[in-house]
Amino acid sequence: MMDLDALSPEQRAAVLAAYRDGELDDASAREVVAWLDAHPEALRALEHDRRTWELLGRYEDEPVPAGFSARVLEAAGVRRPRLRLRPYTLAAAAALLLALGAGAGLLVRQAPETGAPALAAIDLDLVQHGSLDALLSLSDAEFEALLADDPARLADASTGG
Amino acid sequence: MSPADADQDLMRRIQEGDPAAFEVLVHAYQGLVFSLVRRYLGSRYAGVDDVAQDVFVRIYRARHDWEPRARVKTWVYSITVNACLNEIRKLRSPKHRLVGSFTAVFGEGADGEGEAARGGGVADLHEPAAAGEGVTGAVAARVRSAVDGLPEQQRLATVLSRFHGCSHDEVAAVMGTTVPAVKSLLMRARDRLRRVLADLAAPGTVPAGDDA
Repeated sequence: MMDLDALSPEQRAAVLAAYRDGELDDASAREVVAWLDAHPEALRALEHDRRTWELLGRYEDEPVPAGFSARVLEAAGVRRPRLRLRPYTLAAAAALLLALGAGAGLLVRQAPETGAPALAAIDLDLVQHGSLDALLSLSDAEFEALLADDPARLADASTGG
Repeated sequence: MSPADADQDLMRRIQEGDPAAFEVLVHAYQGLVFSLVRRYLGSRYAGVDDVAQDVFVRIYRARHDWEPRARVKTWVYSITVNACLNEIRKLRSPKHRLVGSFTAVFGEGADGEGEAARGGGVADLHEPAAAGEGVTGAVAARVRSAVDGLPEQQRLATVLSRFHGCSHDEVAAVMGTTVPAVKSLLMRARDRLRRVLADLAAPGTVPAGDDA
């Protein structure tokens, strides 16, 4: 037989919490119910507590951000990172390759007359392999000559003149 | 096969080097991890995404440490809590203490009574709802702020118990403490929430409940 009135406030609170959480056996739960009937203030406090706990349901979950799992798999090394290029980046790269291709064709035709085999080789490589590595390997002087479409200047730059 | 058994099977496959199994685990647990990180670190914390990602990287790196007798869910929660604690320690370092938002996010220390004494966090409890949210949004904002304003340990126990349905045993296992300590934390948290949300949850006021 449990006498809740004889318990300390802390002990009584623990028993009421156990009742609230459904941890008491049937006999003990019935005793608590009887005690609560005689103590309406405690019953109101228990009800207040229950409503507060339910109120926390208003704190709703937010959806997981789009692409989260893909980022996780990449960060963990399970999936290889995807190359993320924006549309305008792709358009700029395509325009650059086209310009280089056109320039290369022109220079290949002019190379025997202007003596610029180095540029022809570089641009052929660009055209054939679509790689920017060759472009990146140019010196500043070579690159400026290429932009100026000046084979003679490029030949000088290539030979270090 | 029960969900727990399915999780065990999944972990065994991950340990054997099956990348598809890890992908399944990420999809299965990302919502729970995100939810726990967000509520533990505070709903306004901007680094939730990064911490949640770090949790799964830690899980993958520690996959061989998992032992079949451990419940996968408890293990995942433990790693999540550790990642959050790491983030909290980082933000409490002298370098980050200068960041003004720190106290707004984490408020008081682990003991939890400092904020109440200072009166900090009270303003959070009157955080206005965003325009157009209405009464429902205002109530949700009050509840979010009330949970955010709980002391760290009380908040974690509350989140695991109320939002993740963990038993006292599970909360104790995740937090690395005892069941009586968890009960004490929850009792204090509930008492504080009852006071802070008194006008919303007292009998005879706006109906409480999940039906927002």
